[in-house]
Amino acid sequence: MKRIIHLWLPFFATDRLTRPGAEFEAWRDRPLALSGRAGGAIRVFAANKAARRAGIAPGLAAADSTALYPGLKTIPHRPTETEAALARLAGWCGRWSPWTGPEGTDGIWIDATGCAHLFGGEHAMLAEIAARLEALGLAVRAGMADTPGAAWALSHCADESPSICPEGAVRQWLASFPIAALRLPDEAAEGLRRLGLRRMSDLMALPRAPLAARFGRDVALRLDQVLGRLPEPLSPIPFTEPMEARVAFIEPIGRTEDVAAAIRHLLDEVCERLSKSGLGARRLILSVYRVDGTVLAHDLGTNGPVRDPAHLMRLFAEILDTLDAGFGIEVMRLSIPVADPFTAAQSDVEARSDGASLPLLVDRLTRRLGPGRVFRPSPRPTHLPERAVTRAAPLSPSTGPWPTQRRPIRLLPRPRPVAVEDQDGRPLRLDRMDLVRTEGPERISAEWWRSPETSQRDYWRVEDSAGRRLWLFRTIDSQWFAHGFFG
Amino acid sequence: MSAATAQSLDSLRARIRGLERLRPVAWSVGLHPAIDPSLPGNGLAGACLHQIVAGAEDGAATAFAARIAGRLAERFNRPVLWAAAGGEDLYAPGLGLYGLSPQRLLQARASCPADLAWIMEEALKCPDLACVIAELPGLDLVAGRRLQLAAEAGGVTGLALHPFGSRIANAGTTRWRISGRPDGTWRVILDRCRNGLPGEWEIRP
Repeated sequence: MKRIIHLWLPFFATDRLTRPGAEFEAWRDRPLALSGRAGGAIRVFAANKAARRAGIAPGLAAADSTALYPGLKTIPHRPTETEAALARLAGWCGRWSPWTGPEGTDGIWIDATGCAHLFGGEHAMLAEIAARLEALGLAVRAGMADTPGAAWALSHCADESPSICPEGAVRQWLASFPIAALRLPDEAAEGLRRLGLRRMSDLMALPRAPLAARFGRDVALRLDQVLGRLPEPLSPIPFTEPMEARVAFIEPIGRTEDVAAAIRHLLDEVCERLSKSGLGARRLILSVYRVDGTVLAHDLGTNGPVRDPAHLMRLFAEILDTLDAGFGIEVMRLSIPVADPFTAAQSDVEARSDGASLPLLVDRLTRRLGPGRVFRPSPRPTHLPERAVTRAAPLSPSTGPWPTQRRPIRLLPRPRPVAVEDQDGRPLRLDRMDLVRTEGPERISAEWWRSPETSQRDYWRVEDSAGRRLWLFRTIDSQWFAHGFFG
Repeated sequence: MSAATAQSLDSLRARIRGLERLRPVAWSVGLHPAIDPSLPGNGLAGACLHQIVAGAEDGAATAFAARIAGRLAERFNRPVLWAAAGGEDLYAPGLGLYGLSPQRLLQARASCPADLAWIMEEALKCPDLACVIAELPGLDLVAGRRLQLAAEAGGVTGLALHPFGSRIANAGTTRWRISGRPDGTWRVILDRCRNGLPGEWEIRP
């Protein structure tokens, strides 16, 4: 039989903002509400305990809540941040069981099957969990039972917290619980209430088939889940083995050769694990713990998944040059926070040349120049010459097709006004120099949604008596600009 | 001249060649039927640094560099890296006209000119490239020497493209001055060529 813990954090959205050390700590015991746009109005999404006492509840219009309690502190509701914080907290709960996950917006599942004895029994375990979370400033109610549904019912509806339902006793234990303990949508619960079904026992007494037919599948499903007749899988946070390696030195090291050897050792270890998992590193962090208690962290990125220690070693070459060992290094740790699947095609590239390959070069250049500075030009389907080229990733597959019109080899970042004498739109002289050849016009119009005054241009390819070959254009209002050079 | 004198002269000449690194050209790429006979190895020496200096404006020199890079890219079926620090942007759609397919182009954009020599040196050591072009507004002897050694190490041909008015040393194996002429041709001046003959030509792009 499984043993599941459900932790209900009724004020998680506000508690996490007012916990000790957080930004809104001062509002821990003063009314605080999170508000956001719902439908056409600004409404309260969450309110802390003090605000609830003042009568402010989620769903209330923000204006009404301020009227109820003028001193109310209101901050914007950020659901994704709350969700991420809850997921982090669920991960932190991994200290009690490897199988944990967030539930809804304010709950955490812990599958504690076979874990309780490690913490001195179920009572001691729940008490420790509750105490730890309360120390973090989070209000918590905990329930433990054989099924997730029953644990949820306990955390939400039991008289005391923590509340533990002994093994195999769900049916008796929950009989007196209200229907609300079933995790039902409001309408379904209201429907049951109107029929006089108030306690779980009322529902358990009914034959199952008519129950489903009468009240919908939800009710029967939830009841089956609570009683363990239907399994309810929990989705845990995937437990990933951190990709990292660590080396500690008996004597602190400081010589560059020793540091290089240590880095190489770490890389070998990590790369072996990467290749076992079919992954390649995209980002690496080297943490150097020095004798004087300081830690230097170096962050490296790659343009594609890499698991060749020699390749990565070269990326670390510049770090080695600048690394300040101080009075010595005690511990070095290499971790890979981002890794991507490694495909066969990439292995081929790696194998083709002996180390100093193109991916390595691209990684080194990108590291020095910054992201986006190494790129492949890629054509963009537009008529405007200055917008016709965009930047693609340096190792992306082939670009194209490229337009075939005659285009200059250099394009000015912005067209430069020039003095041109023309006759009926055909250029004759440029900067008072005779043009020996003129070819054109090629009319280029921008997309129809750009205004025609600025975007219809007649382009001319001209050559002056000094041998300069330019790409000129004349706008619709007879202004002349130089836009590029031909070879 | 006695046999012994001749022998010692020969060994001295060999030593000088060694000092000047006048090794026979490993491989070369043909540029133009009129120009090739003046070059050692009957073409532009591969795995070396070459300098291309622009005349009054950069268009012709850029196109000349693209022409060489295009030939190398076709020959080795490998990409070309073009490094620049800004200014008048290289325009990829115009390269095909000179035989360099934009498909083969990889660009590096440095935020300061000081990074350019470093980029070029790193790239020259990468045998996956056919050619490296860097738009260098200046090049001293030491930097040029480093680039030449990197080109030899990686087997990659380097083209240093110098805008008009650059302060440059004689660092490359060859140095070209390219400018456009009003009749649609290029004036190509080879004003320095190690182990070869300088010359001046007018060729069609």
